[in-house]
Order: sequence, then structure tokens, then C-alpha cells
Amino acid sequence: MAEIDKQQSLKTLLSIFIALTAVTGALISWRASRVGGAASGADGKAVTAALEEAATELGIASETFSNLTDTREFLVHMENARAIHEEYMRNPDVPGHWLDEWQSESIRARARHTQLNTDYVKTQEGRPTFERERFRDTVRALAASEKALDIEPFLKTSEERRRDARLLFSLNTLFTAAIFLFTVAMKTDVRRKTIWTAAGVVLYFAATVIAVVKILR
Amino acid sequence: MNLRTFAEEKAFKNVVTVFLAGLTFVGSLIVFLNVSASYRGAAAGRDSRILGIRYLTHLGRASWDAAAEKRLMVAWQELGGLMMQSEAYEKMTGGKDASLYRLTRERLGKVRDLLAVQGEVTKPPYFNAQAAAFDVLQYYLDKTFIPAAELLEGQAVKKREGAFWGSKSEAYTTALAVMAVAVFLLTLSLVISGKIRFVMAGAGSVLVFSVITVAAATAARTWKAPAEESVKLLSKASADVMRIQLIISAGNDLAAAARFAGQADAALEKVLAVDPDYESAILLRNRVLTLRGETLIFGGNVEDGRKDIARAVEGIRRAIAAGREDAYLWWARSSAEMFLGKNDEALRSIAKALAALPDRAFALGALKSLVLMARGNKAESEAALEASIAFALEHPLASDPSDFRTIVKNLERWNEVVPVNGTADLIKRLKEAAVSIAVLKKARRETTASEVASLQFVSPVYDRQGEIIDVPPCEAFPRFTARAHFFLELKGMKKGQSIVTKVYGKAPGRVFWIEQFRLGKTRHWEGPDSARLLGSVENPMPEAGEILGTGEYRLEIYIDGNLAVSGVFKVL
Repeated sequence: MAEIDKQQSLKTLLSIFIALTAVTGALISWRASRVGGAASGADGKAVTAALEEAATELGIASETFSNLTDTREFLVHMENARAIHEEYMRNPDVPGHWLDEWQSESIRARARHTQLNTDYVKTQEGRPTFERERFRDTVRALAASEKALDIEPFLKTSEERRRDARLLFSLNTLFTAAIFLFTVAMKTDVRRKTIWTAAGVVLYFAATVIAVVKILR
Repeated sequence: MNLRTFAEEKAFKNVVTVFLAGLTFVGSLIVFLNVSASYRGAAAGRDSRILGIRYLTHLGRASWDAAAEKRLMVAWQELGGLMMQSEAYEKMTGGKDASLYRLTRERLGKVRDLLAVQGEVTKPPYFNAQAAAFDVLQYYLDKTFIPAAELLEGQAVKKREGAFWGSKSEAYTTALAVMAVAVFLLTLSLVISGKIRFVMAGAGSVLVFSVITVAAATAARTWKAPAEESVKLLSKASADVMRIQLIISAGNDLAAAARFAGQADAALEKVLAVDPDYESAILLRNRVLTLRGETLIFGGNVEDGRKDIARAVEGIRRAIAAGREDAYLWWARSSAEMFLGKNDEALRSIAKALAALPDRAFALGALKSLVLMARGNKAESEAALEASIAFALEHPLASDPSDFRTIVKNLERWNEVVPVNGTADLIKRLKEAAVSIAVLKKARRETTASEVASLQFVSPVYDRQGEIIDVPPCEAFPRFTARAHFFLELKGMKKGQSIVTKVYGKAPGRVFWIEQFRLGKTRHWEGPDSARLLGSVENPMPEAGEILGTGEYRLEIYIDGNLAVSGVFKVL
């Protein structure tokens, strides 16, 4: 009689463990799917950052084109004007119409000069060069201060979340293994049922502890 | 129920219950595999989208950079032209004036040097100072094409990876759905009695084992991305392919095209040694073989060319057999089969390509016409060509003018290498159709009584006042000729008739006649019924030093779409 009671108590215990394991597994799965959802969110943010970066880079490229051509055209006309004027002042053989040409070149140079973004024009030996790298870096830095342009942090987050979600989902296999052990102990005449039960309990607690640590961290 | 039956039933239920518990474990494993595959697929899809964005960004940025370089190059050329002008005046004048022109030339030279420092295309390796020549194509390939090809190929690889993991995930999802049915059958076997429960349990078990087999087979499938170096080599080989296509379409040095094809082939061999299943590399290699084959055939080496093309056809056939249903593969296969003289196969491939690409009915129809002509079906060939021309008129595509030119160019050479009766008529019809569609907006030429009684190239002799005093016939003009004159005798002309002159050029050592757009003209007749005209073939700005380069030229004159006359002259 005592043996039957003992058997019944074990069955009740096993039933509770099976239910507990199933519920815990379901909760962990729910948590895993939430973590997986966060990974998808990070993916979306990475794509948005790539688009923002594209818009910024294309804006920089068009501005760079404009500044480069203005600077180069300014250089041509300015150098022409300077050389004509120098020659005119130095060489008495130079005819008067060179002054007209000097003026024309000066007017052309001046028209370009008004278009220059002088913040990024470096002048060496009196000759202007558009600093395209510095322009790009500073415009990009300004844009990055207003919106996310770098995709790497989002990719890193996404990778970490997916790793966490995979780990949590993998714990489900431990929970289901525990359920299998409990079921064997409950439904079969296997010997040493307590060992089967204990193995299931160990699996259950191991999976639960790992999950809790992972979730809390 | 007797005790034995009760015990048996209990044992059955216990077994099924344990089996179901085991199934839960298997199910959780499949869920885990499914989640992993789905995550990898999502990450690959995300990377593919990001690479697509970066590809477009690169194209936009490179276009702006190229535009700035082009401006710089034009400014450099302009200064060079002004320097040449100063130098010419310097030589024509003397004393003080010459000295001033020298000063001007030196000044412009200094400015040009300052400008050159600021660009990329004005410096080696994109600028050859000795020849004062820019290698704009190399600049484009290095700065735009190759990085773009790398990004696009990376995007395609990620897309394929996403599809791979997606297909695995779908297989696992299906397995789980089937497993749910199995669970239902097994559970049903627990609640019903009699022998039917064995049937339920048996069916459930069969489904379970099927699911396990499918899941295991799916898990065993692994993804292998091509090596980064392979993608780089592939992109460079793509650049070589582009260069070969440009060489062939511009009628340039075919030996150089064959060299680039060899270079691309060697690069792809390296790629395929590392990644033998890399589909893009396999397809590109087929393309390289086709182009090398065409290069050899158009160069006159039909036998060796056909060997390469036969290898390409085999590669394309394998790609199609492996499930790659790409209409352009069928197109490539059809033209390759045409080169091999496999006319029946070519017609089948054309039909496949045409079914998938109905908008390309002009180019494919022209190919069909050629194949039919080679097959000896003259009437069907002409009908196919008429249908394709009618299609081009009714459904114009931006590619039509280029298709007309390419087909005519290749057909003219093909007919020299492998003559086929009737091909000359096809070429004439295509030429007249191109003019009729462009000028008359009709598929066919107008019926006209007008004719060119004679066309004769002449070299006018001028007196000191610049008046022509003699026009002796001339077949070969001297080097640096800016204008090649000709006498044209027209009869039966009517006011408003269109006269289109087309000029084709063939540089020394080249095999293709290439249409020279800048030398062609279109006008409408406003003169009397009959006239004798002194015309000239010239660049739009001969005064700016635009000369006719050395080589052979062919002048074609179309009256209302009719190819009225054609004549050839040389510039030494």
C-alpha cells in the first residue's frame, strides 16, 4: 500500500514538474521571441542608417563637385589674370588690349570666387585648393551629430540579440528533454525512477538558471 | 475489457505518451534550427539591402566625381587648344608678335599644369603625357565600375544567402506543420480504442520519421559564400568583359579584345578553382568565352572562335539544366548557336528568349531572320525581318538605334567571314529600315523615282583667291584632310525629300565598318529636279582642326529611305 502511495506521490510530483517545465519553456520562448524582435528592430535601424548615410554622402558628393569646379575655374582665371597683369607691368612690348584680357579674366575669376565655400579652400602660394576630405569629414560629422549614419552599432546589437535569442530557444531543447525524462519516469516501468526524475530536474533547473542569468544580464 | 486487454492498452498508451514526449524534444530541436535559419536569412537580407543602398550611393558619388574630372579634362583640353593656336601664330608671325604669342603659350601652359595637379584623370595612370591622351575608360573602370561591381556582386551573394536560409527555414516550418498532424494522429490513438488506434499511431509514426529525415537532410545543407578574393577577381573580370564589348562595338583592336578575354578567363579560372560552384563566375566565364569566340571569328579565325563558343554553349546549357531560367541566357545561347551553325537549336533558343522577352522582339527577330536565311528559308527569313522591323516601329525602345547599328556592323563582317546567300539583302533592308524609322517614321522606304546618277570623290584645286579651278577625281585623300569632297548627280528629285548621308569608317588593320555619327547629315531637298552637287564628308568643326583620321570611309546616301548610292574613299 505504501509503495502504491509512493508511486502516486511520484506521479503527482512528475505531473507538476511536467507542467512547470512546459510553462517555463513557454515563458522562455516568449522572451526569446521578444529578443529576436529587438534584433529585427536593430536591423531596421541599420538599414535606415545606411539610407541616411547615402543621403549625406550624395549631398557631400554634389557639393564637392560644385566646390571643386568653382575652385578650379577660379584658379584658371585668377592665374591667367595674374600672369597677364604681371607681364603687362613688366614688359613694355605688351599691347594695350592685354589689359582688356586681364580685366575679362579678373571678372571671370571674381564671379567664381563669390561661389567658393571659402571655409574649405586652402591657399598655398596664393593658389586655392578645395579640401575635399576635410569638407567630407566635417559635413559627415555634423550629419552624424543629428542622425545615425553608422550602421555598425546596429549590426552589433542585432548580432548580440540574435545570439541571445538563439541561446534562449536552444534552452527549450533542455526543457523538452526534461519533459521526456519526466514522462519516461511516469509512464514506464523503468528502474530507478528517481534517477530519471532527478536528471529531469537537473536539466530543468540548469536551463532555468541559464535563461534567468541571460535575461537579467 | 479483460485484464490482458487492459494491460495491453495501458502499455500502448504509455509507449505513445513517451513517444509524444520524445516528439516534443525533436520539435524543439526543429524549432531551434528553424529560428537559426530564419535569423541568418534575415541578417543576409538586411546585408543585401544595405549593400544595395551602398551600391547606389557609390554610383551617385562616382558620377559626381567623374563629372568633376570631366570638367577638369575639358578645361585642360581647352587650354591645350589655345596653346596650339598660340604656337601656330607664333610660327606664322615673327619678331615682337611671335614673342607675345610665346608668352601667351607659356602662360597657358603654366595654368594648365596647375590645373592638372588638381585632378586624377590628368595624372598617370590615367594620363599619358607623351601622347597627351586620357584613359577615361580605365578611370571609369577603376573608380566607378569595379567598386560598383564588387558591391553589386556582394549584394547578390547576400541575396542568394538570404534565399538559401529562407528555403531552409521554410523546410523546417513545413516539417513542424507535418509534425503537428503527426501529434494529432498519435494523440487520437490514445483516445480511441480498437485496432484503428494502431493505424493512427502507425500513420503518426511514419509522418514523424519523414519529418526527422527531412529536417536532418535540411540541416545537412550548408551555405558556402564565395571568398572575398573571388568577388574581387570576378569584378575585375567583369570590367574586362565590359572593355571587350566596347572594343568590339567600337570596332577597335580585336587582338586587344582577345588579350583582355584571356586575362578575364585566367582570373575566372582562379575563382572557379577556389569556388567551383560560384554561379556568377560560371556565367561570366561563358560570356568571356563567347566574346573571345566572337573576337576570333570576326578576326577571321572561325575555327578557333567556334571552339570557344562551343564551350560557352555547353556552359550555358549546363546552367539552364541546373535550373537557371534566365531569358538572357537563352538569348546568349541562341546567338552562340548561330555562330556554330546550329540553326535548328538556335531557332529553339530564340523562341525561348522571345517568349520571356517580348519587348526585345526587334533584336531577336533580326537574329531569327539571319538564322532562317542561313538555314535556306529565304521567305521565312524575310518575313521574320519584316515582323521585327514593324515591331521596332510600333514599340520603340531606347536600344533600337544601337541594336540596328550593332546588327548591321556584325552582319557585314559575318557575311565576309562566313558568306551566306541573301545576307546582303537583309543588311540593306535593315539599313533602309533604320533610316526610314528615324526620318520618315515608317517601317519601309518611300517609293521614289529619284536616283543618284553618279557619286565621285574629288579633290578640288583652288586658285589664290580661294576659288575652285579644277576638281580632279580622287580615291585617296592626303593625311590631315579636313574635308573629303564628292560630286553627286541627282535626278528626279522632289522638294521636301529627305536625304540622309551616313558615313562609316574603318581604321587601318580593323575589320568592322563603324558608323561615324559626327560625319552623318540629314536634310530635306529644296533644289531643282536634277542637280550636280559638290558635297563633302567632314567633322562638324573642321575649322577647329577636326580632321578625318587615317583609314577607309564609306559614304551612303539615302533618299526617302532608299539606299541610293554608296562609295568608298581613303584618307592616307
